[in-house]
Amino acid sequence: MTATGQARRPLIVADSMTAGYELERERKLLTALEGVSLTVHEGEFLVLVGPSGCGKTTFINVIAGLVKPWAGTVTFDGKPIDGPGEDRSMVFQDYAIMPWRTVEHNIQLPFELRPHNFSKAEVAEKVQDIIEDVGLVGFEKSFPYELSGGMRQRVGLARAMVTQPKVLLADEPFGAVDAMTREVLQAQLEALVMNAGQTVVFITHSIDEAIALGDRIAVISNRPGKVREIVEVDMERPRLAEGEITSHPRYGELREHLWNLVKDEALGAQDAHHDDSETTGDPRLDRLSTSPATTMDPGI
Amino acid sequence: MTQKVNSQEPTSKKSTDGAALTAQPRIKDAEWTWARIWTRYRFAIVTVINLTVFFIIWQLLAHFEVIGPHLIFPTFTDTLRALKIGWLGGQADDGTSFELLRDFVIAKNAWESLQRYAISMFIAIGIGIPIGLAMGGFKWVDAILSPYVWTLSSLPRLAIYAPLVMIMGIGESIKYALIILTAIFPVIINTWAGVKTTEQSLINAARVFGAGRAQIYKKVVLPYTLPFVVSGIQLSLSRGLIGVVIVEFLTGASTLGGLGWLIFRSASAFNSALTYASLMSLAVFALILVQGTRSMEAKIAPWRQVSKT
Repeated sequence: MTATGQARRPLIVADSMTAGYELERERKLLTALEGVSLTVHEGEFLVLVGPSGCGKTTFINVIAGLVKPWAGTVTFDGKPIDGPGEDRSMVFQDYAIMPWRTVEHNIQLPFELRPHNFSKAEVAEKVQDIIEDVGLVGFEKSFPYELSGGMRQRVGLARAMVTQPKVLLADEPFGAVDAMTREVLQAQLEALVMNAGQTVVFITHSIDEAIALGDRIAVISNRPGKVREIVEVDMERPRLAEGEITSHPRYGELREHLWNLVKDEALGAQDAHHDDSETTGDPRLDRLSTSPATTMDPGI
Repeated sequence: MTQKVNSQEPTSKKSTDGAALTAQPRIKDAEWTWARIWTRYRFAIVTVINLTVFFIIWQLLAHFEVIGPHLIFPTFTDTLRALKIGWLGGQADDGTSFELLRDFVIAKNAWESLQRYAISMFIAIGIGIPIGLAMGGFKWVDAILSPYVWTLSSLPRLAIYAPLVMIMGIGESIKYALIILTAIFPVIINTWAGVKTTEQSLINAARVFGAGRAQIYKKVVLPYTLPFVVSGIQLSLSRGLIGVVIVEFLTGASTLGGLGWLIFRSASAFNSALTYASLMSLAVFALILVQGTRSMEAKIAPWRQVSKT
């Protein structure tokens, strides 16, 4: 939440980075990002927008330490990123919360996976606090399948925030949530992040969401993705606590400018679009239905 | 009056998002009317009537020898009598065509089969789960075992009987071998599929929050695979039952060959009442087993039931 002009310390620096992923079924490599240089400053809310398949997710996965860049460097606090770390946590597009765990046990997961010095009671208190912050009180013992999409993403957000990480990475977190819930969640995220002073890297498809949340908006071009332009959002915070953000005098201008940038890319992306459907790359598995053995086993 | 009470009857449908809902109000001290009895017990009532009619028709068909003589198609009452002697004892009094029907003959053979079944299933599940986990978790194990597992699981298991006899001869061990071979593959394949289909995003989430390889297995892959294993076990249990009956039929015995043996042996001796009594015993056991394990997955992994619908 840095105001423009204030001294900004670079926290995450990508320098002519190239990265991609392997399409297992087709056995070929796909370059998602090519020669991307981008700096995320400490305490800022950076939003990435761009057409689908342009490599936004790859970028965030590199920062998270899930994917290694093929070329170029990405540093965090001056050190090259080598795998995930406790200073970075993430909110996923498909929630990625464990279906066999209750809400509170899901939120507690980061404490189970990394060594820490908190007592059991302290952990329980942290979990309870964040449950209150995201509005999940009363659902502590519920399982994810009992919750709506919006509620599930609250669990995802709480799990990411419970350890108070330096950086919050969010990969289209509200993409699958209905429009009304989305606005509530955006306001909640803004409040949470302003409170803790986190650095956020946030991916979205929605220009409106980008303007509502971002300090800066990086427009990514078609795959292989490059940073096309970085737009500063000079609107004071909190933007979402009260009132309509769309009535802000700067809103229309920003929106039009961003739309013009994104439009060309979106049109260009239509033929470059690739099938995102998940396959395991194993033909035996892809033939399986929900209960595998019934379909293939002849019995006696 | 009855109409009114009936219409206020709370629905017994379970709500899927029960957490958010409060309990439905219940009617206190409602009148005990026929309508209430009917709504509450209609399935039990229909089942009782249904089965009664079934057994009466059976009795009539057998009594008037519509299907064939008693040697081929016994009356329901003769079958009951065979059941009673076979399970509870009490000598067959007329001694005519009942050479096989001795005291406790069904009980003894059922116990024989049950032991064989239980031991084989224990081994099949005990070997199957680790094999499935190893195949799912390690690429080279998968590569090495894959051809055998997939060939054997696709092959009708009866066909391996001949080569197995040549190696093992006709004894007790071949029975276990064949039952295990019949039952093991659903467990292996389901376990393997569970490991393999573990959602990548869940694994990624665990990695982001600090999980190493061992923790990913413990906290993500194993819990994810558990319901797959359970449905694999379920399938294996019914496969194994088929295996037991077939094996007992194939290998034969002179006196005590198990329930499967008794069914075929009594049939070839034209002791139809004993055949039907043994078959009914097997049917009841299978029914209890299959229905009993059917709800296992729902209990262990309720989230899968919901996501399927």
